[in-house]
Amino acid sequence: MIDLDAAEHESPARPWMVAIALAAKDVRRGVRSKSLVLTAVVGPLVLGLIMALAFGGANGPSATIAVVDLDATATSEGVVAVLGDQLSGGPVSLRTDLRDAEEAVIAEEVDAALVIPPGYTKSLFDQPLALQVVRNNQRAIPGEVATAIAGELASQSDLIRAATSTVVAIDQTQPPLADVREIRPAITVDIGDLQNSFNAALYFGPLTIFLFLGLGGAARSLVREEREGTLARIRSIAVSPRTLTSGSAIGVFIQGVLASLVVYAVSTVAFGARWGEPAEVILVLLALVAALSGLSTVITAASRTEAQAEGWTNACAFLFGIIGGSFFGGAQFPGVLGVVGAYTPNALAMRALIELGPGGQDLASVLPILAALVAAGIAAFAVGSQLMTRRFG
Amino acid sequence: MAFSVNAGESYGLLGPNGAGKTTTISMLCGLLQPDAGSVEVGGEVMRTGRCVAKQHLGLVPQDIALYPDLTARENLRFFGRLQGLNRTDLRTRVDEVLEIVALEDRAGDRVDSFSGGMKRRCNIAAALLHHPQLLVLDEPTVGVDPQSRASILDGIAALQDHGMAVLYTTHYMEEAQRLCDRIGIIDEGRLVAEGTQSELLAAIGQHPVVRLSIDGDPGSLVLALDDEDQVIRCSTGSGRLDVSVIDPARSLAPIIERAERAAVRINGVEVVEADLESVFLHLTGKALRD
Repeated sequence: MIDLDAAEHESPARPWMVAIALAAKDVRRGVRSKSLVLTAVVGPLVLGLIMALAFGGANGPSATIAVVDLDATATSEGVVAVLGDQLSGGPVSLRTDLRDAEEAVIAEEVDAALVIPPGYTKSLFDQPLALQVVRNNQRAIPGEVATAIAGELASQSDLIRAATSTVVAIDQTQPPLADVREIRPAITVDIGDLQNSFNAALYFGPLTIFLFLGLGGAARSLVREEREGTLARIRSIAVSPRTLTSGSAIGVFIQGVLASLVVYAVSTVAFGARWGEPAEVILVLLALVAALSGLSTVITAASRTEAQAEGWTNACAFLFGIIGGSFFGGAQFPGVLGVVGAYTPNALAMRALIELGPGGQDLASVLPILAALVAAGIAAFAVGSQLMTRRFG
Repeated sequence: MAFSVNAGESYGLLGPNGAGKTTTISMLCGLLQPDAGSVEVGGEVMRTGRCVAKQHLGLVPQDIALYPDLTARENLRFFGRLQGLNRTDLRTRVDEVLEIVALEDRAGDRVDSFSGGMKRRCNIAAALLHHPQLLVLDEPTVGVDPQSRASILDGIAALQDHGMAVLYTTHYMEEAQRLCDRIGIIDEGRLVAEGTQSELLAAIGQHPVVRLSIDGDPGSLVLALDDEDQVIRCSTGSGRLDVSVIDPARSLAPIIERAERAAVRINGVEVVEADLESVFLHLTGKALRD
């Protein structure tokens, strides 16, 4: 027993201050060693640029959307004509057969197809009909463009339906179907704007991969600190495993945010990449980095050696990168892998960016995705924290 | 194993490699949970994780527990923040400890540019930031040049003078002899002996020797010293008489007086202190550096 007379001593540091000090130290060391600059900034930008040059240039992919008129009425022909006018800036392929359109999408002759269903004209005076979009999971952005056009057409159809209902209610007469020849939905979708509102997939993919690779930084740092003795000194100070975990997660979060913002800013300014509305893009990136920071604590707690940290990191980067579509500009696998891949943090963030950009959705519609990312980060942090407590008492 | 260290006292923990020194220190500092028993520092029970007892303690690990790519000041500021020092206190205290370890001129230099001795001094400084009541030093002079070692030992002695308790492990017997008020010897996880240096030496029958160079018959002097309280035993050699005594300072005058009475001329006197190495060997059957 160590028996000492009580004497004055400093008050203990608040856990959140300790966590921030730990994180700031990790960031400072990352900047000083240039590892942060290389893995989080230079790496994603260079890889993004290479991919941009290899796969169609920095302007991103263009969308070829087929329109399938299964209604074959004067009104539907009018809709097709309007779409033709609207899509004059982008390639349009008219089809008359659904199966033909589906095969064209699967064969990637077109990127997506918008289907005007049979009975569309009649639906303008009756119950609304669902407009169908044939999408290819490998081509997420054109799919969103087609979905946005369908959404705009549906809303215009709703307006027409409301107007004709009013006329019917006043006159108590059913207008002859022949009159619908005059109905032309005023669709104002600009496909050029839509498909160009997000062309940063070639930078987002590499960024996420390098964010994943950065997950192991905290784990490697902890293992190194354990080996060099600094961890023993930190643990001999009143620092709990939970605080240690928090510091590690905050460090990864800061580095991730820094990397994301730099890649976003540089790709936008220097390479003309278009990510979408800045505030929305930043929110999506923050949510993604929050999810990955939580995941990093699990890797940190599970890694006893630098080799283990490296292994877990690479496994995460490649597994999530491949099935989440970060390697292939948002392309996803078919079947079960596609379903699982759609719920990886990188795929969710990509989906949010696409819905906000080509999808024309507002922030509220992607809030569930952002909440899911943050919740995943918190859940992973809880697991990592528990593992750290078990490891260090 | 049970021992205590009082304020202002320096306690040396000696043991061969594998004796359990580092394990003991790990439990003392809350890095390892004991299977049984407890550790109290400043009246607070030590535990792993966050606990009040850790605020009373400063650990100087055997390794250089500093970030090599940060400067000395950055390292100290980081550990000071972890200790809960506020901005003003932190600045003042960092300057103070840099002065204590004589590194104020190198405060802005990266630790990886330091010599081994400077790293060791900075390693100690990081444990002093929060005015700990107990300073635990685990082999703090390993790989240090003699000049730096002397500087480190002087610094530790000065901390004791300010009322800090020091727990010290070392392989260097002379450091323990010089620095420690009390010494505990551990082997295979057990505390096999504890006490002041004199008590330990006495316990195994090791005493200081007054070595006399003489002219004349040593036998007559041996007889003359037979009833002297301070004298334990005598052994003779060619022109030499070794007198084992309890306390050399108190035994010299009676020995010289008895020699004059026995008509033995003393040409020279040398006091040979028994050392802890022999104690250690006696108690554990091992040399300290085994």
